[in-house]
Amino acid sequence: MAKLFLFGIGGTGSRVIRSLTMLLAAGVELPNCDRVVPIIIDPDAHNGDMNRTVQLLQSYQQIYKRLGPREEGFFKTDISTLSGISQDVNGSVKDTFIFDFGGINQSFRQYLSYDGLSVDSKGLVDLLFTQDNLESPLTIGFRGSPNVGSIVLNKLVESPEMRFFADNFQDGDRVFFVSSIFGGTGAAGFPLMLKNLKDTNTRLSNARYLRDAPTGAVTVMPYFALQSEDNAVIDSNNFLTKTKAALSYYEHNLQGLDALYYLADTPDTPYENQPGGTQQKNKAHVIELLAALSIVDFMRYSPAELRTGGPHFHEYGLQTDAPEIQFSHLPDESREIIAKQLTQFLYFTRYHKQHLPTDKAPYADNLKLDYAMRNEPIFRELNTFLHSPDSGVDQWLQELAQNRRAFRPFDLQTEDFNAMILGKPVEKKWNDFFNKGLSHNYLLDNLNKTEKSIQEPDNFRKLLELFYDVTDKAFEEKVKVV
Amino acid sequence: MKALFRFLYELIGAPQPPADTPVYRDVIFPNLGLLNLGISLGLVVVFYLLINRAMGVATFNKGRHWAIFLGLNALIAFIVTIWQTNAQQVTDHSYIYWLATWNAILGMFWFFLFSVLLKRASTNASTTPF
Amino acid sequence: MRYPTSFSRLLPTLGLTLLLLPGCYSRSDMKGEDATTEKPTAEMPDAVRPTEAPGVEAPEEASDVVSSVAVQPLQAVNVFLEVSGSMEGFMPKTGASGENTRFQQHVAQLLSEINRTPASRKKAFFRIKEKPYADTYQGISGTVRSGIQQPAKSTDLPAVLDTLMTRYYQPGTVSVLISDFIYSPKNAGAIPYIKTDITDALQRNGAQPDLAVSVYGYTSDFRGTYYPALKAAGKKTNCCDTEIPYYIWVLGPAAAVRQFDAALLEQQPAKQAHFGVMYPRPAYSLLSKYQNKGSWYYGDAGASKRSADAYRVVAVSEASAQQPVEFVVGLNLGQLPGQYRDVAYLMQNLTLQGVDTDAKLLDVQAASAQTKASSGPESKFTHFAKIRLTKAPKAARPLVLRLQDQRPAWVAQWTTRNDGTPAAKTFALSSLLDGLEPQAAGEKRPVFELPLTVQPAE
Repeated sequence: MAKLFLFGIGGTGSRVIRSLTMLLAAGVELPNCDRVVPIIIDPDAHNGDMNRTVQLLQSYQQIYKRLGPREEGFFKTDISTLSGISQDVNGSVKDTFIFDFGGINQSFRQYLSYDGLSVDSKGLVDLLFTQDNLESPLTIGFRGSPNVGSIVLNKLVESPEMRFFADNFQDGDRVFFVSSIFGGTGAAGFPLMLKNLKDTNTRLSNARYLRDAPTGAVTVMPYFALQSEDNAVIDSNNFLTKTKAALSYYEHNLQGLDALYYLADTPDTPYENQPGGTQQKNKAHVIELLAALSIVDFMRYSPAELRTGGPHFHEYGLQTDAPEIQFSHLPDESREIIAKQLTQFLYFTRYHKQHLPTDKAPYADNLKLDYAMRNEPIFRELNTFLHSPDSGVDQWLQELAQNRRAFRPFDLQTEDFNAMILGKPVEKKWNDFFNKGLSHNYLLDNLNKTEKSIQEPDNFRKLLELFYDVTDKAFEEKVKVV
Repeated sequence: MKALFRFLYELIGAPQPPADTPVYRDVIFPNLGLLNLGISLGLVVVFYLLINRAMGVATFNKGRHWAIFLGLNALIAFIVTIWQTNAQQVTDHSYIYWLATWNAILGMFWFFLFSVLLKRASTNASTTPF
Repeated sequence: MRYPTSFSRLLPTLGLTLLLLPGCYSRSDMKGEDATTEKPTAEMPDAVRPTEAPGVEAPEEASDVVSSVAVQPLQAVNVFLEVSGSMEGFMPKTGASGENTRFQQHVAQLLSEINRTPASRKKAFFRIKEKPYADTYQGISGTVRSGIQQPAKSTDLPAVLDTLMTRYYQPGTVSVLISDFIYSPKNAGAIPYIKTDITDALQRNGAQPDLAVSVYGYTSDFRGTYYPALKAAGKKTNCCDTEIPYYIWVLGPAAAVRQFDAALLEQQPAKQAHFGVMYPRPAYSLLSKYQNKGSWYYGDAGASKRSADAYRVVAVSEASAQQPVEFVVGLNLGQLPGQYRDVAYLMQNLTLQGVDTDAKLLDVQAASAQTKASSGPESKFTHFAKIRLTKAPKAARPLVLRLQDQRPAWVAQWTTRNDGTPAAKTFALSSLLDGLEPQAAGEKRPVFELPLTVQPAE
C-alpha cells in the first residue's frame, strides 16, 4: 500500500491537484502507488481555487469508494484524506483535504504578538516586514509575501496533522510538493516543509522513512500576469524579481529532494487581480495540467532511479509552440500518457450528457439508469463530478480551452463524436453505409454488446466499467492514434 | 398439431360455408398455423437477431419499432390467409375475412411470444418491448 | 473487424425459418400423404365406416378403369335361332322389291356383330328345331336373310331351355336365344304352370345359383303366318298389320351375361329386363358444392385429401325444419343397363333407408350439359340424388341408398292372355319371366346399395 503524499501549497497547489484529479478520473496510470493523499496547504480558507478543488476531490473520493480498486478504468487511483489513511486515535485530525490552520483570523501583527515584543525585536520585524505585511489579515493567505508565509508556515511542523502524517508514513511512501515560486504561500511553504520533513533532528516519528522517502516537487514559475491596479496588494511586475530571489535560495537550500520539476511560460492575457478569498478562482491552465503530469512522471521512476545521480531536474518543452495546444503539439511522451485517457474520458463525459439520460436501450434498462440517475446519490455524484458548472470536467476542459495559452485538444461545442478531437477527425468511409464512425448507433451498439459481457452486480461499477471498455474500443477502432 | 390449429382457428366459430369445413380443417388451418409461426418467428429473428444484433443497428430498438414489426406481422398474417384460402379454392365468404383477422391476431400473439423468447439473444433490443 | 462476422452465426436460424415455410400443406400433396399415413379405420368406429354398411355384400365398385382393363373375353358365345314355323313371318323370303323385315335387319346385324366381336373367344351358331343343330355363321345368317327353308314344328320352350342349361351352361359362356317366345303348352290346363315349367327347366340339373338371364324385347313387322299360343284361336295367314314382338334372351352365369350385355346389347334400343344379373356397385360420392344447403360437410377422415371423389359421410352441424340440410349424392350409373339409368325408373325405385333419421330422398336428376361441363366433381357423375334431413343425428347413423330391382312396366304391357289377335304382345310373357326370377323366394336383390353415414359435426 504505497502512498503518495501530495502537498499542494497555495492557490497553485490547489489548481494542480485539480488537474491531477481530472487525470486520475480519466484513468491515467499512477505507478508505484495505490493511494494519493493530497494535503492542501493554504491559510486562505475561502480561496475559490481551493474550494472547488476540495469539492472535486470529495466527489472523486465518493466515486472511488463505490468503485474500489481495479486493474484499469476511470477513477482507478484511490484519493484519500489524511485522516482517511488510518484511524486517528485523538480525533484531532479532521477528515478533510485541507490543512487546518485553526482559524487564524488575526492580522500578522497580532500573530507575531508584535505589541508584546521587545523594542529590538520590533526593530527586526520592522526591518523584515512592511507595515502592510503586518496589518494584513492572515485569513486570505500571504498574498504573495513569502516573508510572511515563511514565519507562519514554520509552525506547521508542530501541528497534529503533521504528527499524524509522520506517524502513518511507511517505507515506500513518497512525498511530492506542488508550489508556485512567485506567490506567497507556495514560495515560502515548500522549502520550509521540505526542511522540516528532512530535518535529522526532527521530533516527528518515522524520521528515517521520511528522510529516505523519494521526494519530488514541481515549482511553477510565472506563467500569468495580473492586471495592474494602483492599490493592488499583489503586483505581477514583482513576479520575476520574487522568482529570481527564490531560485537563488533553492539553489542551496533544498536538501533531500530527489526530483525537481520547473515549469514556466511567457504570460499572455493578464488575470483579474484577486489577492485571495472566494474571488481567487482562476481558470484552469495548461501549466497546471503539465504540473500534474510532472507528478505522474515522478511516479513512473522507480526509487532506485530517483536515488542515483539525484536530484533530477526537469523542464518541459512543447513539440510546437502553439497558442492553442492540441494533442499533436504535445511531445510524444505526454501524448502517450494523456491523449487516449483524456479522449476516452471526454467521450464518456459527452455521452453521459448528450445521450445517457435519453437512451432507451438494453444497457440502460439493465443498469436501471432511468431510476438510478434520478435517485441514487452516487449517480448524482458522478453527474456533479462530470458536469458541475463550477468544478466539473466540462468546465475544466472549457477553462483549459479558453485560457492563454489554450489547451484545446477537443472541440467542445460539437455533438459529433467523430469531430471531437481537433485536428484528428475520425475517418468515415463515404462508401460504407454502415460505417458512420463514432455514431451514436456505433456507441449504443457497443454499449449494449459490452454490457452483456460484464459480470458486475453493482450497476454503478458496471456503468463505469462499461463506458471505459466501450470508449477504449471506440478509440482503438476508430481513432487509433492522435 | 392439426388438432391444435383446429382448436385455435375454430375459437372464432366453425368454418363457413360448412361444406368447406374439411378443407379448412385439413389444409388451411395447418397451413396457416405453420406459416403464421414461421412468419412470426422470421420477423422476430429479423428484428432481434438480424437488425438488432448482426447488423449492429442500435437505434431501431424502441417500442415503436417493435410495434412496426408487430403490425407488419399482422398484415402479413392477414394477407397470407387471403392467399391461402384463394389457393385452396374455398368458397368466397365473409368468414375468410374473419379468419384473416383472427390469424392476424394470432400472428401478433406468436410475435409477442417469440419476442419474449428471443429478445435475450439480441444485443440492441434485448429489452424491447419491455 | 471482428464484429461483422457475427452475422454468420445467425445463418442456421435463418435457414431453419426458410425450411419451415414451405413445409405447408396443399391439397395435392396431402393426397399422396394420405395414401401412406392416414388410416381411416383408426379414426372412425366400425359402425360408421362407409364401405361396410350392414347387409350389403356388393361387388367392388365399378369404375371406368376396372371394366375396360381387367375383363377377360368370354370363353364362348352360343347363338341359338329358333326356326319354327311361327318365326317364318319374321324371316320371309326376300321379295322382289328386296324389302325385308326389321327382324331380318336387326338379327343379321346382331349375328354379324357377335361373329366379329372380340368380347368372346369362341362363337358358335345353332338353329333350334326340336333341338339345337349346329350351324355356321354363314348358314344361320343366310337363314335370317333369305328365310327358313324347313321350318320346324312348334318348339317346346322348357325343353329348349333345359337343353341350353344342361349342354351349354359353362362358366364364361353365354347362350343367346333368339325367338318369339310364344309358348304354347300342350293343353290349356298347363297355362297356370308356365312359371313353374320355366323354373324347372332352368334348374333341372341342380341349382345354378349364379344363373342370370337378360331379356331384350323387340318388335318387328311380320309377313307370314301367325301362330298364336292358344291354338284354339287358329293361325292367321298373311299376317299382320301390327308389329309382333320377338326376344333375345341371354343366359349364362351372371358375370358372363353382364359382360355380354355390356359388350353387344347395351346399345340396342330395346326393352330389357334382367334376372339374376349382378352389377358392380356404381361409383358414388357426396357432393358438398352441388345444390347443397344447410350446415353440413364431408365427415370422412381426411376429407379434403381424398383422391377419388368418394365421400360417404355427412357431418351435420345443425339441421331444423327451418334450416334443413340438403345434400346431393352423385352416382355414376354408366356401368348399369339402360333400364336402371332411366330417371323415371330411378325416381320410382331408388330408396333411402336410414336409422334414427328423417332423411328423405327428394329428387333424382340425370346429368345435364351443365354438370358435365362443370369443373367440379359433379362432372364425373351421371345421376344425382338429392336428400334432405331436418334433424341433426345424435351419433353416426347409417344411411343406405338402394335401387330396387323392379320388373319394368313394359313386361306387363307386352303381356296378353289371349294372343288370338296378332298384336305387339306376347302370350303369358309375365308368367314366362316369372320363371326367370331367382329361385330363392323373398325379397328381390337390389341392383345396388350405397351406404352413407350421417353423423353430428365434430
